[in-house]
Amino acid sequence: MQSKFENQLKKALKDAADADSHDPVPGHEERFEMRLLHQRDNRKMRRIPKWPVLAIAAACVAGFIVSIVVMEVRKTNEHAEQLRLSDVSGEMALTEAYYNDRLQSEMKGLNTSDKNIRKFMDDAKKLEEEYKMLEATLAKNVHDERIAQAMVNNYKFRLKLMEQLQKYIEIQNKFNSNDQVEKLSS
Amino acid sequence: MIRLKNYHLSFSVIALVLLSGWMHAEVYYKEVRKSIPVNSDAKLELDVNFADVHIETTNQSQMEIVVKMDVTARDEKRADEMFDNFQVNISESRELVVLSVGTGSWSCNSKGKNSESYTVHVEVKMPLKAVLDGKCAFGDLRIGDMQGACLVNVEYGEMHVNGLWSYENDLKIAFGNAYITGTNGGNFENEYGSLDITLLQGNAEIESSFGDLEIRRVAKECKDLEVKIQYADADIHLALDAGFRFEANSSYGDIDLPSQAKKTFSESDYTNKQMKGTIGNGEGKLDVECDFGDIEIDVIPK
Repeated sequence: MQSKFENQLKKALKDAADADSHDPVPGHEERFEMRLLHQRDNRKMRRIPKWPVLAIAAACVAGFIVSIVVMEVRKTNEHAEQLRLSDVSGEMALTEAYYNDRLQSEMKGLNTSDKNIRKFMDDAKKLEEEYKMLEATLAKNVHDERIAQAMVNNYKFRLKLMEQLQKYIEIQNKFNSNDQVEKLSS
Repeated sequence: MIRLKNYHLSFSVIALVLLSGWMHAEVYYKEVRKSIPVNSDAKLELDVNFADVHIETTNQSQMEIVVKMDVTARDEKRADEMFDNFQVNISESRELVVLSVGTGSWSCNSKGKNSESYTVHVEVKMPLKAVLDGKCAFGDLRIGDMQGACLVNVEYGEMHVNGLWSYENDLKIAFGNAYITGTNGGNFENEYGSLDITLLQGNAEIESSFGDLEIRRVAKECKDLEVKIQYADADIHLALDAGFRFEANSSYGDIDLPSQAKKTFSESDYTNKQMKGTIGNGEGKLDVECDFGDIEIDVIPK
């Protein structure tokens, strides 16, 4: 058993010694150098940053998507029957919200049995109807500043009306309290 | 590092080129012109939307209409689309010319926030005695001197008139101010905008709401003036040689009369005021009614 192992070992050592004594194939070194150079070039290529190309591509795709969305929105707006001020711009949306809030708070708790107050309410309703007409006009002429301005003015007129109404209520309250004082004193 | 800078630079240049291409827009122009022989008392019927109108009168029996359209668009194709959207129709006869100008449904700014915008101007020359009828909306109306009746309705635009010398004018102005330099009177109605008349020398009926009224001179030729005002003030200046019997009623407002006024009746409670009397020779009749606003009447020197 031992001699078999020794034989195998000797053979392996002999093979290794034979291999060391072999000369390399002609052109081996040049090929080796070429391979090294090629690897270096590859590493250089990989070092070029890809982000600008990706950024341009992403920008193009984003631009394409945005333009499609804008076109769709415009188409939708063109076919909409009514547009609100908030559809015009963010600024207009704020304006609309501001006036709506104020109008709603002004209209709260009004005594509708008074004929003058009813007249105020009728006038406010007329302005509201006019506003709806403007919304319809805006839908046909999307983003026309004249219409948007007219809509803002409409809110202003409605607020002015409410201010007049407040004055009226103040006068009436004063009048009623004076009347009561007179009755009590007599 | 240098390589990275080059990329940044080229990227910026590309972005700039793309952006300038997108923002670039040119102005294109188109006009419709028509010359129509008409009778001297012909009628011009207007239906104009989203355009400014300027009307002048001449002594010729001819009506000249020019509709000028300017559009700012990114290319000629889009400009043509926009031009096609303007609807200009003119129908003609010697007695009646009908002009309608407007836009269809579209998405474009009148005064551009984006690169597209448009303006439309209508210029008309018509006989001095021609009648003007119809309506204008979302645009201003300017008129020179007219001897024929002016029967127009202006909404969401201003009205500037030099002279309305017919006695049968009928004007309705809403959501815009009106300025009339001189008129022989008629019916005037203004809502949500002020009415300013420099000289009134004929009878008139005026109704104003949510817009102040000022008549800077009521001449002696005016024999009947009726004014109704709501939610606004009336300021009426009478010529020194003009005389009126007046009646003024005010609810929730004041009445201020000139020192020359002779009151024959005066009554007031907490909310209402009523006054009657004469100013000057008392030849004419002046009725003023005002709700939620003040009336001021005074006399001005010649």
